[in-house]
Order: sequence, then C-alpha cells, then structure tokens
Amino acid sequence: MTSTQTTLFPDTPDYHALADAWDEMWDAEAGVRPHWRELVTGLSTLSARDWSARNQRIKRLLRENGVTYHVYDDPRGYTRTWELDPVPLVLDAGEWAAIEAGLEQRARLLDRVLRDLYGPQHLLRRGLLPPELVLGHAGFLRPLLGALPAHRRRLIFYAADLARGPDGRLWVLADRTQSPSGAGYALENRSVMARTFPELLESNRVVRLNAWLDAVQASLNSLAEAAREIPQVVVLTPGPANETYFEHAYLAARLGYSLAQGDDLTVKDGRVWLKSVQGLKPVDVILRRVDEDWCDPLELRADSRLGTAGLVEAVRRGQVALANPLGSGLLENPALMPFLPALAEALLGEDLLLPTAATWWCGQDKEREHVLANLSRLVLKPINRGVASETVFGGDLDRKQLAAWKDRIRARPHLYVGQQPLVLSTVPALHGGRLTPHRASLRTFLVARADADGYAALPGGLTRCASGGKLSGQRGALNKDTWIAPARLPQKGPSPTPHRRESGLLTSRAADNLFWAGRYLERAEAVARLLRAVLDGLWEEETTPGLGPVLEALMGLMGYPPGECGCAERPDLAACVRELTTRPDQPGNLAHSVRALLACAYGTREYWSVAIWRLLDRVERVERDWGPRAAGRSRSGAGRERTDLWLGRLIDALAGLAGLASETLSREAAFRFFDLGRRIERGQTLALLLARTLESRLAGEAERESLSLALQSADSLVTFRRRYRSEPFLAGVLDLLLWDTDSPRSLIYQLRTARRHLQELTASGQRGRAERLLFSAEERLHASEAMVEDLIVDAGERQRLTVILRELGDLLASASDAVTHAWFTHVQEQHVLLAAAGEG
Amino acid sequence: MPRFRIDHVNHYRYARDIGLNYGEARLLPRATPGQQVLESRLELDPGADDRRDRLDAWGNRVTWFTLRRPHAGLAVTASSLVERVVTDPPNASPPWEEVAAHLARPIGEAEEAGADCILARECRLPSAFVPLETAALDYARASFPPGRPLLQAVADLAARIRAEFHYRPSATRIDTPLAEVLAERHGVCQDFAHLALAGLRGLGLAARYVSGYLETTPPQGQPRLEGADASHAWIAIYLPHQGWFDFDPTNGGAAGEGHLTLAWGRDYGDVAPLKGVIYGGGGHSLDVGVTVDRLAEEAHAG
Repeated sequence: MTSTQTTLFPDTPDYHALADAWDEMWDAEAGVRPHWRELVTGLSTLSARDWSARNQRIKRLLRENGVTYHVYDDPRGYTRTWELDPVPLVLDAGEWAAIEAGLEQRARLLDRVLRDLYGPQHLLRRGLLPPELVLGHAGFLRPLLGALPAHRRRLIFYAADLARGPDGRLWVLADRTQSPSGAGYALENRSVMARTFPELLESNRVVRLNAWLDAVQASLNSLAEAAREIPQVVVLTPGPANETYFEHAYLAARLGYSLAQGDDLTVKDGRVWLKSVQGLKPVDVILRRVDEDWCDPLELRADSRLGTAGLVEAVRRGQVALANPLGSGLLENPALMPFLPALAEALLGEDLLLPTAATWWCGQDKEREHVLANLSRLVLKPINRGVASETVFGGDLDRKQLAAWKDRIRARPHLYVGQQPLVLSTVPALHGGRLTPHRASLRTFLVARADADGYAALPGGLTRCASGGKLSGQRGALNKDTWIAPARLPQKGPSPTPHRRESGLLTSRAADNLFWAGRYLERAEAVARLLRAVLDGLWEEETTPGLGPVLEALMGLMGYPPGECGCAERPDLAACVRELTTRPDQPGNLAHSVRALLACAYGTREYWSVAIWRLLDRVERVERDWGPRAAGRSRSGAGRERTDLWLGRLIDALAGLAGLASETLSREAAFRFFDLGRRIERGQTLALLLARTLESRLAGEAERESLSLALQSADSLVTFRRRYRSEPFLAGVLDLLLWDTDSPRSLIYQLRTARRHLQELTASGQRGRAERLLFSAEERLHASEAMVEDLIVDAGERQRLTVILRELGDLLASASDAVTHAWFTHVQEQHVLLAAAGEG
Repeated sequence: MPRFRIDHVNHYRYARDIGLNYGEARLLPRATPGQQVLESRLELDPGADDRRDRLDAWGNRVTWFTLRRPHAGLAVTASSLVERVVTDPPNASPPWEEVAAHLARPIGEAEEAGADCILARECRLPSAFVPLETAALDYARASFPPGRPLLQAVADLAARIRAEFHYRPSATRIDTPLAEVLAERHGVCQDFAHLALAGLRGLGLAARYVSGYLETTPPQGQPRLEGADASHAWIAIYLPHQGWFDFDPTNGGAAGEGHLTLAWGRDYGDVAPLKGVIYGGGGHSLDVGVTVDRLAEEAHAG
C-alpha cells in the first residue's frame, strides 16, 4: 500500500491517507485540496499545547451543555457525552450547491411518492412500483390511507445519508423520512466549534447555519390548519430515556415549543390538546419524534405506552398536522432506491440528480438472482427497520451463514435488498493524539419551505466517522462539524430575534418535574447541612451533648422512624456515613435526593439555561465521585476530613444551583413551580428541626450547643450572631427561624413566598385549596408569635409551640398534595381492550 | 332472496369507573356482490361524546368513538338487516398454479390495475396473524396436486380442516400461534381461517380473512353450523378477473347463504369487531351476544 502524507501542524505526526479511498483533505497528486487550504493553514499555526487546550475546551463545552446521546443499555444511565472531533469536514461551496439541488429534488420526489401511495396509488396501478414493495413494508400504515390530502406537501423533514466513493462522487446511502434525527446535534456541534475556533470559522468564511431554524419554525407554523395568530406547536418525545432526548429538548428550547410526551396530550372533540398548568390547550402542529407506529395505541401499535389514543383520528379530521406525518417511514424502504430514476422521470419529468448506491430488491426475479449469486460481495439490508433487522455484510459471512441467509431471502424475498458496498472516503480525525484517516458519512437535513414549493437544506450537516473499515450504527462513531466554504455573500450576524417564544406552554408534567426538582434540591441541601453538623459533633472524642435534636431531625428527614437510627452507637462512623449517602434506592438518602433532582432536571432540560446545566453537571460529578470513595475501607474512605470536604462541595454546588435557578429559569410559571417546591420543602424541614429542638428540653450548655447546630444547619448562624451578638438562646433562635419576615431562611418567609407563587399561578384570582392551607398555616404561625414576646419560653409554651410546628408540617404536606392534585399530570393507567372476535 | 336480522351486543363491565374511553368498532356489515345491507345501526350506552363513521383501507365500515365521562360499563349494540343474493361458485376454475403464476407477474404499464388486483397482491403476503409457516404450507399442499382447479383445491382444503381439526371454543386465544393450532389440531374459526390463509399464501395464492356471522338456527332439515352463537370468520380466495370466493374451513365447504359478511382484511388484526383503549380502571369483563334470525319469506314478499 502506498501512502501519501502531509504535515498538518508541526507538532503532530504525519497524516497518512489511505490508498483505496478518496481522502476529503488530501489529494495524492496535488496535496491539500484547495477548499481545505485555509483550514489547514489555520490549524498549522496552533501549537501542540494550544491544540490540546482547544480539544479540552470542546469536551468541556459539550459536557457542560449537557450534549448527550443516550445508549439504552448503558448502565451509566442518562448521560453519555457526545464526542466531537475538532477537525471539521470541509465541503466546497460550489460542490455543495450541486448537492443541495440534488437533495432538494429528492425531497420533492419522495413527497410526491408519499402522497400517491397514501392516496390514489397510481404508482402501483401503473406498475411503476411493485405492490409488494409498498404493501409488504411495515411503514405502510393502513389507518392513514386517504388521510393525507393529496394536494398538499406532506414530507416536511427529509434527511439523507451521503458518502463519497473512491472516484470522488457523492452517493446517497439512505433516505431518512420517518423522524430524522441529528439536526439538533449538528447545530450544537457548530455552536461548540464557533466558541472554540471562532477565528477559523471567520477566516474560512463558513456558511452559517442560523437561518435554517427560522425556516423550520416558519415551516411548522405554516402547517397549522386553524387560522391562529401563533399556532401551538409541540415537540412530541418518547421521554428522557430516549437516545436522542437531548435533541428533542434542544429543539423545543430553541424553537420555543412545549416538549410533550404522549400522555401530555389528549384527543378531545377530534383534536389534540396539551395538558398544561393552564388547562387543556389546543395543539395545531406536532414536531414528531416518537416513531410513527408508537403514536396511537388505538389504531397503531396496541402495546405502545408512548402515544396518544385518538391521534390518528385527529389527523384524519385535519385537526392537527404532524411533521413528519404518520406514514412517512414508508419512504425509508431501501427497495425504493432502484426505482427512483424512473419515478423522477414519471412524476417530475426530471433526471435524478444524485446517484444512489446500486441496490437490488429481491422481490424481483432477476434482481433476486443477482443478489443470491453475489451475496458474498454485497451488503444485505432488510427493507424494514428494527432491532432484529441489522444490516449484514456478505463479506463477513462464512459458507454456512451465506447459505442460511440465502434461504431466508428465498423464503421472503420481498423483505430484502442487496446493495453494492461503497468504499467510503476518509477525513482526518484526531485519534490517540494523532490525525488519522477515518471513514466518513454525512447526514444532511432539509425542511419544506413555508412560502415556496421547495426545501431548504441545512448548509452542512452531521458528519460521522470511524477509524475502522465500516461505519456501523451510532456506536463508536465520532462526530464532526461540516463546513460549507467559502460563503459567496457577506453574511449577516446571528439572527437578532431570539427563537424562544415566551408563550410556550408549561405542561403539567414539566410543572410536576420542576416542583420536585425544587423539593429534591432543598432536601438534598438540608440533609447535607444537617449531616455536616451532626458529623462535626460525632467525630469529636466525646459526643457533643446538644447533638440529639439535630440528629433526630436528620434521621426524620432521611426516613428513619424516631429513635431508630442507631447511627450514634455504631462503632464505624465511616460505614454509617456511607450508608446515609450512597443508597440511591432509598428515599431520603442523600444519593437518592441528588439523583432524583438530576432526573427531574433532565426531564425538564429545555427550561434550564446553559449556566444552570453546568451546575447540574457539577452536582452530578460531585455525587458520582463520592460513591467509590465512600466505599473505601481505609481511613481515607469516608473519614472525617474527606467527608466534610465532600459535603462542603456538594452544599456549594447545590446552593449555587438554587441561586442561579432563581435568576435564570426561563419562564415565569416554571420558576414559580420550582421555587414553590423549594419553599414547601424548606418549610417542612424547619418545622421538623425546631419541633425536635423544643421537644428535647435541653438546658444550659447542651441547649446552646443544640441551638447552634440548628442555626448552622439552617444556614443562619452568621445572621444570628450579627443580629444578637451573643451565644444562641431559644427565643432569639425561634424569632429568627420562625417569624422573621426578612430572613429568607425563616418559616414565615417560606409560607409567604409559597403563597405568593400560588396566587400568581391561579389565574382566576380564586383561592385554591393549597393556597388556603398555606394561609391558615401563616395565621397559625403568626398567632404563636405572641407566646414568646418577652423572650422567655416556659415549658408549657414549648409544648404548645411544638404542637403548632407539627401542625404546620402537616399543613405544608397537605399543601403539596393539593398542588399535585390541582396542576400536575394525572396520568392514568392505559389498558388496551381487544374484544375476542371470531369465537365461532 | 333471504333476509336476516343481526343483533350483536358487546357489554363491557369495568372494575372501576372509566373516565376516558377510545374505541373502534367494525360491527356494521358492508355491502358485497352477494349481500345488500337494508338497515344497520350501532348504538353505544352510555352515548359517545364524539363519534364518526368512515371506511377503512379495505372499504369496511368503521365507527370511531370516545367517551369522556365516568362510566362503569359500556354496551355496544349493532343491529342490521341484510339480504343475501347467493350465486353458486363457478364449476370450473383454472389450475391453481396458473393463478399463482398470474399473481406473481409484474403489473404492466399498459393495463391499469384495479383495486381488487392491488388487494390480491396484498393478500399474497404474510401478515401479523398469518406468518410464513412451513407446517401450514405443508399441510395445505396435500389439497393442491399439480393441475387441480383452484376452487376445487380450496374446497378440499376447507373440508380437510373441518375433518381433521377439532372445533373447541376457548382452547385458543387470539394470539395462539399457528404452529400450536397445527400441533394440537384444535381451535376456533379464526384459527382455522388463519391456517387456511397461511397455506394458500404459502402457495402464492391470494386469500383474505372475512369476519361475519352465521345464521343461528338454520331452516328445517339443515344442520346447525359451528360458531353460530358468536361472530364468525372464514376466508375468501381470489380468482383473477372473477373476484373473490368464500370458503368456511370451520364448516368444511363454500360459504352459504347463512354466511353474512361484516368486514375483510389480511387477517383478524385488520377487522377486529371492537378495539379499545381505556384510561384508569383495572380489570374488565365482556359479554357478547349474537343472534342472527332469518326473516320469514312472507314478511318481505312482494
């Protein structure tokens, strides 16, 4: 194998292009291709240290922005960070113009095919498409037959996977029409690159991407059937467990749409409604990211829990538009590919511009024989997508496997195509500190234009590459930004109008998650503070006498019945700490609260700013790092200093999050639900802590110590000292923590703030149950103030106040229930009934 | 020409009140060359909040409905009056291989294919309840020696299923696989219909699933047929240029004047008489009652 080389920048080893493939950057004869020269020159000026710093910056930005790609069986759960290579794929603007025209034509053609197959089916009747090819495909959704008006464009989003062969020609490998994903990642790649290599984007005159989202927004708005000033658009997602959930939340946030799951929607009077905290709101357009056959358990897959019963009927009645429409997955059938040139001729009167990888559908006799005879040199693809239908590379099969596949093809020939494998072009990518050639493919994205017939392409796309011979699926692939350069016209700056619309509705589910994010955040912080206070006392040689009340409050918060913690008796305090901080399966446990907070935040991620996401990432790392360390058997495990340090870091991260969230939560109602959760939780914690303190009947030094700990765990010790300039005393502590309307740590402040949120959330001005409960809690708290007017608290008063605090705790719990009842999704269990039919 | 009154009651009772109920019924008979629908009515009790009738992909009559108020039960009652025009199937038919070969030919650009032709293509393919099953194909082959006229061969297959399988209600469920039906040699009408379809499609023929009813009490002197107290299912085979001919594997022969058609499709899944999605509740029970009465000739004479 001959190899050619270039030096990309002085401190990295040479780049060796492969002999059997086209290299995007390097031409064996002419060196660096002209459209790469600007980039290569720019990169050459970077020192090795600079280079490494920029690469680190990319990684950090992606992690902090929460750009994740979820892999279903990943034990780490939600977050796997997206990997972005620092070297983009550069395409010459002139070549791109031709590609764009070809993609646009292909989108128009597929749209016509879609409309025909769900309408008059001329293509089948005239023999332009074999009926088995269409009728035998799982994407042909019969309930939608006749439901797509034939006069309107229906294919809204189109994506195509492109790759370049050894001769330098670009080929279409696959058409994506069902619910194409990746555009959000492509946009995020660009925004990370723009922050990492701003000067290179500038000097290369890279075509900007920002106009494309405007086109998406305009396109979706134009789909609304109802004449409404601002159509209601929602992004339909399967939820946080889905692999591309990041993108769903990203698009919802960027476009100002509500993010909804199937049971956030309901079909009533033949149209779709969003269950929002403001009641049911009509939905005009759905950006669909739930696979089509899962969208309606009544008429599509009955086992789906991701859909909305009645959605198909709402579509049939023309009351809601979906993008892409239900049924569009039919076009992903690779068996269509060999028919496209003739279809372009028949439907558009045009020659197909972009070549398609040579494909043979086994449903035809001659083609089947070709595939059977050449299977070892072909790629075998099932026409249907699915877990059990992986692509098979004939060259990988041994004799026995080949025979087995041939039998399968003969048994159901219409389900398979054979495809000529393409030797993919290579592109330089960073691998182990060196630039090496990676096989690449490019996913491009188009959206139907709102005001014209055609389609608008995202100028660029998502390049994926791998160092192995094949690009199989998503795993192990590296992503790249895609640069179209140079731009011909001077470009405008970033679009001045923000995409976010303030009118995006808050779904009941999101409100529920935000409320609980607030509660868990507060709970985690309270437990961490109490734990730190308690451990401080326990780690001393002699247990501090005033520890009892705080310890009991802590155990109460963590879900242990009174007097049952047993923690103080344990000889091994480190084991005890481990127990209290690392059991995510136990409600009340610190690990549980932190993870529940992260899950609630993740479920509402379109509401959180990048800055907040950065802090959430920090909270997550602090929590994650702790488990293995706490488990260490040695003294360095959950020892005093280490534990204290860790709790301090956690408290800082949580407090920072709370502070920033209050300032930047993007929508007003969203903030109110979040803060309502915090206030209710903090109120409950305070009531519990002070009730335990009063009950303990400590006196003298022990009392002072216990009051000091209570103040410390309520983060109010400094305030107290400043105000009273004395050691803690009961009446003063009660005054500060119960009745001081100015202290954001006092119980009265929690009650008032929570009530104010409820007032604002209740549009009609009517006082809801939760608000009434909080009002009566406030009155009761006020009434109790008279008891300690003279700053002396006797035993009887202590007793009465304890009872009142208990009642306040109960009122807060009831208020929380009332909030849940009034606003949050009441998702009911779904049952599918299928009457036993032909019993006869 | 005989007329029949069909009454079909489906009564759901739920363990707890249901607040939200979506349903789809295929309980109104369609018109066919051999059947005229004189009256048909579908009633819901309690009444639906939203309801719409339409035709599905195969031209069957579908009622889509929702109930949004709390209800403890739901009765779906279909009442119809149909008139049967029975024509005997042709005595002669082409050899089955010829038909299979015809159906495998690409549709030419010259001739515009009709809806029946497209449907026939669809009914040659495996479907959810009629997967490609070698055992079913092997079973069917015995009725299809080379050169045998198609309709004669199908009649023979139906007769063999009738003779060799036990009709046993509640031995199987909707999702009992064909392999089990074949192994146990028992089932109900839909199992036998699916079995016949799997064999016929395996041979490259086009056959569809038909759901409907049987006359409850046949005229004097004729035997009472199996499956008469419930909805029934059988098959129809496609003969190019001549149309579809109904056979009843459960009763072993061609469908007669007492076979009243509701709907057809690829298999049971396309024509389930009632489907529903309910929210809330827990368990439920369903009582089904079917009565099919032949009206006295004089009642509609003249």
